[in-house]
Amino acid sequence: MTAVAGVNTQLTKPTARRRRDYLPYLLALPIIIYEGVFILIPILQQFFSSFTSDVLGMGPVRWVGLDNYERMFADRYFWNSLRVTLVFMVGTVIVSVGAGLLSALLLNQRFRGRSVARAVMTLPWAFPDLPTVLIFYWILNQNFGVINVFARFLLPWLEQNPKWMFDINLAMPLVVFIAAWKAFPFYGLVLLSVMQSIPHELYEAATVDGASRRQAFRYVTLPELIPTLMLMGILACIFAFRQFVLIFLSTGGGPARATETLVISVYKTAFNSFDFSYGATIGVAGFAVVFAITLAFAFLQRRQEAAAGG
Amino acid sequence: MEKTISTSAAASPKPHRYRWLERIPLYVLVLMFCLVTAFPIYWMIVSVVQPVNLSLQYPPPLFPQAIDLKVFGEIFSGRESVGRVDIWIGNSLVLATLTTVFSLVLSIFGAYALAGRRWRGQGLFGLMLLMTQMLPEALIVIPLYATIDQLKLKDSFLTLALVDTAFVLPICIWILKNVFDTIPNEIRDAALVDGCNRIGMLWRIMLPIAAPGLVAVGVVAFFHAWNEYLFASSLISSRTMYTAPVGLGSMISMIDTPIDKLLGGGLVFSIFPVIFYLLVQRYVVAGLSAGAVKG
Amino acid sequence: MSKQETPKKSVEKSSISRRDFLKIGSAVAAAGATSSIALPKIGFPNFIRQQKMELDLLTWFWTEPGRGDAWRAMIQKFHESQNDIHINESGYGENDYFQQILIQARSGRIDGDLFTQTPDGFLRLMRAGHTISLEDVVKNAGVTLSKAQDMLRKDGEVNGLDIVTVRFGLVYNKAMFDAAGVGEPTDIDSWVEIASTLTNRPDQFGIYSPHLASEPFTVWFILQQWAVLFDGIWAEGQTPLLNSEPVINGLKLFKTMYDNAMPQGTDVGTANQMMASSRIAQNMVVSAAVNQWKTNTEDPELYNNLRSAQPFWPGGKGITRIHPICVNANTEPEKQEAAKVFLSWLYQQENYQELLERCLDVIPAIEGGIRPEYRETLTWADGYDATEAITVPEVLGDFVLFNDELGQVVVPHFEEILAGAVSVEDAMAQAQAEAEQLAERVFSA
Repeated sequence: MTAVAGVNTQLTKPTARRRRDYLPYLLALPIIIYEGVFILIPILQQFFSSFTSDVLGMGPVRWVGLDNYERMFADRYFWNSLRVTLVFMVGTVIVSVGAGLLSALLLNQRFRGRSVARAVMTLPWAFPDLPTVLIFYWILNQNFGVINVFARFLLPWLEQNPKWMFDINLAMPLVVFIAAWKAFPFYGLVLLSVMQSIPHELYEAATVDGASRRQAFRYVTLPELIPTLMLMGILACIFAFRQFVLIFLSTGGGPARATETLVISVYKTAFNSFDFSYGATIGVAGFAVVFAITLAFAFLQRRQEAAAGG
Repeated sequence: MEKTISTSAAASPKPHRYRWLERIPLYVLVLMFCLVTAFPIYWMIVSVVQPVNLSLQYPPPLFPQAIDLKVFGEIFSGRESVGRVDIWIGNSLVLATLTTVFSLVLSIFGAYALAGRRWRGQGLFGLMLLMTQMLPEALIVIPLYATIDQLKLKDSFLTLALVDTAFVLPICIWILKNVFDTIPNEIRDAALVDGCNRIGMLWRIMLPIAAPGLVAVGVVAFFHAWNEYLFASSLISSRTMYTAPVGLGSMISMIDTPIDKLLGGGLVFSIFPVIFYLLVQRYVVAGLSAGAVKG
Repeated sequence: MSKQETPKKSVEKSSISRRDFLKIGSAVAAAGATSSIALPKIGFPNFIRQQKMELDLLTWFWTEPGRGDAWRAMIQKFHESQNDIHINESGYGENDYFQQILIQARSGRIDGDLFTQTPDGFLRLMRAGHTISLEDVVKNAGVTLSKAQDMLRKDGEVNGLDIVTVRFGLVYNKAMFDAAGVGEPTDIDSWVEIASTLTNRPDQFGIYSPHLASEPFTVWFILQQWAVLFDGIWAEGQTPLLNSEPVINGLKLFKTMYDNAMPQGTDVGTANQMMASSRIAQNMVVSAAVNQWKTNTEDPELYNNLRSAQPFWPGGKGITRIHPICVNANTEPEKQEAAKVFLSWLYQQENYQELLERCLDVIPAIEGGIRPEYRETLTWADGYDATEAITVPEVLGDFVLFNDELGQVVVPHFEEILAGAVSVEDAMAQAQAEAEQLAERVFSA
C-alpha cells in the first residue's frame, strides 16, 4: 500500500527546479539494504529453490527445472488451497472491513459512553493472536463450549451440539469470524479517523442544499471514505493472505483441508512433509496471486483518482 | 439503521423526545458490537478464575460459581516444566521494545523519503516495500534460518527484533508517510527559508507535528513483535529465552496442559498490550487520523 | 551470539584432543562401573576442571510432565558426579519439536550437541548423516543392547541409544469399570459395548483417542495402532495398504467409538484432564502417558486405579516406538566426545535403571535394565507387557522414512470419515491412490 499511496499522492506542485537531490536516496538506501537482507534475498533463494528437488533425507539438492510446477498444476490440493485462500480472503475482507466501517459509523455518533464503547469495540486489536485462538477454541468446544448455550437458545431444535471448528462446513466461516474479530478494529479506527477529519462545512453545505442524512452520507461521507476503503481492502487482502497463526493453531488447516490456505499448505509441505522445494513452489504461486490482486487494486485506485479529477 | 448513520454535526430539527427514540437502534448496535468484542475476553477471565472442573461441564455457568486463583500461582512459579510465564513475558517485553525502537527509527527514514519531493525511483521504492509486506513469513523462514544460523546469530533478541522489524516496517512507513503528507508544504518551505537544513526541519518541525503518528507506529510495531510466533519459535531454542507466544505455544503442545492453565497464561500475556493500548488509544486514533486524511 | 562462541574459544585454548576425551570417557565409565566415584578424584588435568564443557541437550522431555523432572534429576546427578561437563536444557514443546529439528537439519546443522528423536525422525536424520556411531559408548558402559535396538543401526553400528520405548495398549480406569459392573473386554464387539455402557454424555465418556484436525501428528501416530488392532499394517515395503481390510476395519471401529463413546472435539490436554478426574474411562495410548496421571492429578487414587487391558484384539500386537538419544554429527569433535562421556555414564546399568524408574517406563533397552522390585510396583503395566511388540518400520514399511508425509495423506481423509462426509471405503481408496503417488515420487529418487 505504500506504493499505492506513494505513486498516487500528489505531493509538491512543480516548484522551481532544484539541483539533483540525494537525500531521499540516502534515506531509502538503508531500508532497501535492510529489507533486502531480511526478506528479498531469502525470497529469491526460495524462488530458485522452486526449480530444484530439495527433500530432507532424499539425497542432495538437484536441479529439476519445471517439475515442481508441473506437479503443482496437477495437484488438486493446490487448487483446493487456492480456492480456500480466495474464500478466506474475500470473507475476511468483507467481514472485517464491513464491521470496521459499521463500527466507525457508530463511533462517529455522539452518544453517552462513547469513549468507553470505543475502547471496548477496538479491544480485540490489542488482544494478541495466541490468546485469541485459545479463547475461541474454548468457546467453540463441542462439549463444554459456551457457544452451545447460545446456539441451543437460538436454535432450540438442535439435537446435538454442532462440531463447530471441526465441522467441514462451519470451519471456514468460524475461522473468518475469528480473523475478522481480531482485525476489524484497525480498519474501524482508520475509517473513524477519516470521518472525523471530514470538514463540517461540507455537511453544513449539504444540509443547506436540503440533503437528508442518508444523502449526506451518500454524497459527502462515502466519497471521502472510498480511497481509504480501497486501501483497507488491499491491506485486508494482504493480511488475510499472510494469516498463519490464527488458522494454524485453531484448525491446523482441517478438517479435511477445509481451511488449508496457501500459507498453511506451504508450511505443511515444507515442515510436515519436508519437501522444501515444493513448498517454495506453492509459495511462489501464492505470491503471484496476491501480487496480481494488489496490482489490480492499485490500478483501480489510480483510475478512480483520475476520475475524481486528479 | 440509516437514521443512525448521520454525522454528529448535522443538527436534528425534531423534538427532543423523538430523538431519544431514534437513538435506540444506535445503542442496540453499539451494545451488540461491544458484546461480540468483550464477551470472549470476559469468558476467558471466567474460565481462568473458576476451578477447572466447573468449566468442564455442560451447560457451563455464565457467571463464575467459585473463585480459585491457584492457576496463577502455577503458571508463575510452579513446576519448572510447566513453564515460567513471567520470564517469557519479560523476554517479550525486551523484544517488543527493541522492535518498536528499530521500527520508529527506520520508518522515519522511509516515510521522509516517500513523503518529500518526487525522486526518480520513488515508485520503485514504494513497490519494493509493498512486496515485502505481501510475503508470508512461512516462505521466508527456511532460508532466513539458514543464513542466521551460519552467522551464529541465533538465540538473540537483537536478531529477532531485526527480523520482526523487517516485516512490520512497510506498514509503519505507510502510516508515517501519510502523517508527513498532511504537513503543509508551506510549513516545510518556511522552515527551509529560515535556514533550517532538511534534517533539522525533520527533527524540529515535522516529528513534533507527527507525534501521534509515531505513537501509532509504535503500537503497531509493538503488537507485531508481541504476537510473532514463527520466527520466534525457530530462531530461539533456549527455553529461558522463549518469548511469550512461543512459551504459550509450548504449553499448548505439552500433552497435559489443562485448559485453565492455558487460558491463564493467555490472559496474563494479553494484559500488557491491552493496558498499553488503552493508555495510548487517544493518540493512536489521532495518529491514524492525521495519516488518513489523504488516504 | 557470544554465548555460542565462548565455549568454543575455551576449547581451543585448552586444546583438548579427541583422544583425551575418549580417555575421559572410558575412565568415567570404568569409575562409574565400580563405585560411581566422582570424576575429579581420578585426577584430571587442571585446565579441564576450570573450564566446563557446555553441552546443549535438545529434547522435548523438558516440557513433558514427569519425564522432564526425571531427566533434570538424572542430569543433576551427573553434574554432581563430575566437574567437567555441564548439560544445558534446550529444545521445544512436543508438537513443535520435530519441525524445528528438521528446519535446523535442512539448514545443515542441528543445534544441540545431543538430541532425542522419534523412531521415524531418527531414521530420517541418520540417513541424512546427522548422527554418529555410539558403539564405544555401549562398550564403555558395559551393557548389552536388546534385539529391538537393531533398528537404530547403520552399517551395523548403533547410532542412537534408546532412552524411552513406549508401547500402545488400552489403559482403563478400574474404579469406573467396577462402578459400571463391567470387566475387561474379551473381543472387539464386547469392547464397543463396554465403551457405550460407560458413556453418559456430557459427564462421562467411554473412551478417548485423539481426532482433532489441529493436532494432526498426535492423531496420526495413535491412529496407526487402530489398524494394528485388526492385525493390519499401513504399508509393506514400498506398497501402501491404506485400503486393506484391517485398515478399513480399524477406521470403522474408530468411527463407531467416536460416534458412541468419545468426547468429540476434545483436545489431548483436556482429555487427559478429564481422564484424571475420572470422566473418561479408557484411552488407547502409549505406556509413557501413564506418567502424567501419577504426577499431575488432584485425585491420589486415580493412578492406583489404572490398569492396562490384556490384549483382546486379533493378533494382540501393540506398536512399539523406540526413542533414541543421538550425538550430533555436526558439532565440534570435543563436544561429541563429551557427549559420549555423558551417555556412557547414563547407560551404565544402575543409572539406566534409575532413569527408567524415574520416568515410570517399563520396556528396557538393555539387558537387566529394569529391576524386578520396581516392575512389581507398576500395577498398570501387565497388559502392556502381554502385548506383542511390533515396531514402526514393521507397521509402515519403507514409508517409515516418510511417516509424516503418509500421515499428511491419511489424516485429511480420516477427518472426512469422522465428519460422515464419505464412506470409509471411498475415503481410503482415495488415500491409497494418493499414497501410491507419494511412493512413486519418494522412492524413485
